[in-house]
Amino acid sequence: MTALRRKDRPNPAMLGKSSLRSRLIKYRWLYLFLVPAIIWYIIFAYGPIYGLQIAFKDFKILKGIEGSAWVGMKHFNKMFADRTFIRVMWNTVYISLLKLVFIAPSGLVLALLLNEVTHKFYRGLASSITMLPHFFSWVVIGSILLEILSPSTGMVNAIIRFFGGKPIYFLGETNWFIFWVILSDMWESAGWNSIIFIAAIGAISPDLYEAAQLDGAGRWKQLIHVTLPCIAGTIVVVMVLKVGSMMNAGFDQIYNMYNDAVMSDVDIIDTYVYRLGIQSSKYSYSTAVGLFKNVINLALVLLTNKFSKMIGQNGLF
Amino acid sequence: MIQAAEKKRRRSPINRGNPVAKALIYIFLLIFMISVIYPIYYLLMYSVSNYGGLSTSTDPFMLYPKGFTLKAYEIFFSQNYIHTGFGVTIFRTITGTFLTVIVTALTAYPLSKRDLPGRKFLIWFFMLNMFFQGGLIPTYLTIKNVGLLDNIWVLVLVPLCNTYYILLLREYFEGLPEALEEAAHIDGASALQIFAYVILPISIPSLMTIGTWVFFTHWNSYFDSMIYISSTAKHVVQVHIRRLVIEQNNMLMASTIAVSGGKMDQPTEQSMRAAGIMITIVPVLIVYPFVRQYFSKGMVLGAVKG
Repeated sequence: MTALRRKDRPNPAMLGKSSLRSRLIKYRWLYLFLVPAIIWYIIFAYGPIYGLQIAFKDFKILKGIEGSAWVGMKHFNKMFADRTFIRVMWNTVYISLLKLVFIAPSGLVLALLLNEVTHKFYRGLASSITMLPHFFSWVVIGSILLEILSPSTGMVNAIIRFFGGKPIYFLGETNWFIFWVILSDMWESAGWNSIIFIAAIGAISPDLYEAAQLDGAGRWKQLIHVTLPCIAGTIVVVMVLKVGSMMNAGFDQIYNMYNDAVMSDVDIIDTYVYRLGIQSSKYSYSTAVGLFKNVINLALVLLTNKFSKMIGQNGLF
Repeated sequence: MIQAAEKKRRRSPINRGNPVAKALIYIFLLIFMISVIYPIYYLLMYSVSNYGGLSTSTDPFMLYPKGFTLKAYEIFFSQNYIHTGFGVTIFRTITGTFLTVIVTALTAYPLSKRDLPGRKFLIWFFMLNMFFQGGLIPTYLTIKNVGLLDNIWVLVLVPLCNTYYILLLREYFEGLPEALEEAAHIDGASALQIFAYVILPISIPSLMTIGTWVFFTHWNSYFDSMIYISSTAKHVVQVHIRRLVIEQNNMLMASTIAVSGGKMDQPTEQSMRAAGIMITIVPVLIVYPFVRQYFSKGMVLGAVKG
């Protein structure tokens, strides 16, 4: 019966512009598909946004979100006078900037190197293995680092001693710690980040390389005059995305690597918020810090998106 | 397309490039590969070495085990927390991946209909979450308010939806030919039937891509378990390994090490920790070769949309 009636309905493709009513009827079941996701977003995405109000309140667990008293900008005023917060802000920007300079280009460099490898098996192997660390959690990477960098039993110090050097407490000294943060992030993400560049290089027309070769360009000249200009758009988008996430210096990584010896120098906003909020239960203050971070984050995303459109690239949205 | 470019490039004789530069590139990549494999190999060798072997050895490179014992693994697999940990990890990974893929597809499909009334609003409703989130503490309080604290379903439900995956899949659905659905429609299939019997089967490669992403995210998650779960028996395995290796939790260590107690043929504390790391990465190493292809395909799908 239903099937018969459905058949009588005109072919949707021939309708062109159909009325709102008929489209609502046509898609009535599809709205049902959306229900689980809509419920999820209301609870788990908009619920926390509603909860942000505790940044302007003195939240007490027993009184709940609504019952707690409004205190205006109290927590924000406290925040700007908090030396630890200023320090944590600076650490976040410092680590992010270092990562911007070293991590994003490492994916590009790896892609360009892989592209020069003509031996197909070797290339496949190299790209598989360099991508592997991306699938380890930071708990595992942090554990590996802790084990191999240990001053007494670690591999790196064992090798240093083997050659007659003095063992170094790598994770206990700020500069060495930051060095290992950058190196391990590079190790973890270069392979993964290279994929997008490899895809972009693969999309370059072979004719361009042929023309370059006819003009007598070697591999290096081809790289400078064909490959890089052709993937400039991708490079810009990747960099823009990185700038847009400046406020995220890598919670998982820092959290699984840091210790009391370097805490004050490598503590970032996210680790600070975690310790304040979850461990010390300073709910309102840590929410204020988190909100401040999110607002800056949003501004950066909007700015970088605009910038990306300005220079003629596709924005994100 | 990549292969075509490849062939053309290889055909031309001028294209050999500088052999020294090429050798350097091969060597550099080899060093990178060693930097990935060697630490894992080192920890593997360490994990099967015993106290006697390690205390007399002068070789720092650990090319072979110092003494040999599988005791470290034996001890681990007799620990209760390893059993419950793997149980919870496997539960969240399988249930979570399955549910996320289903909900993502269910959500992406209606949004791919260009004339769906309210489409623009719905897309913004979902997208807003990409740019602005409540953050750690408000999310924690929300979970607390809905009564999900210390409930293992929190590990499945909190990461259930991901706007990025929804948008990615929507884009893929938009690219499917309309004729496909029309034929089924004329045959009298309902929306759900079309979705289940026409759309989903041809989308399997895309669903696999998203599925593998979600799979590894779940396998490697530890933070949600740390903050939302309080009972030891409900923690994922990564949390226990974190406590053992990173926090060097004395109680956990004691319960694990007590059995070995410094005898010559027993594992040391370090080899116990190495074994702990190994048992969490071995499953990744086993699955990785089989799903690797889906990963890069999906990245390309998302990144170079043209």
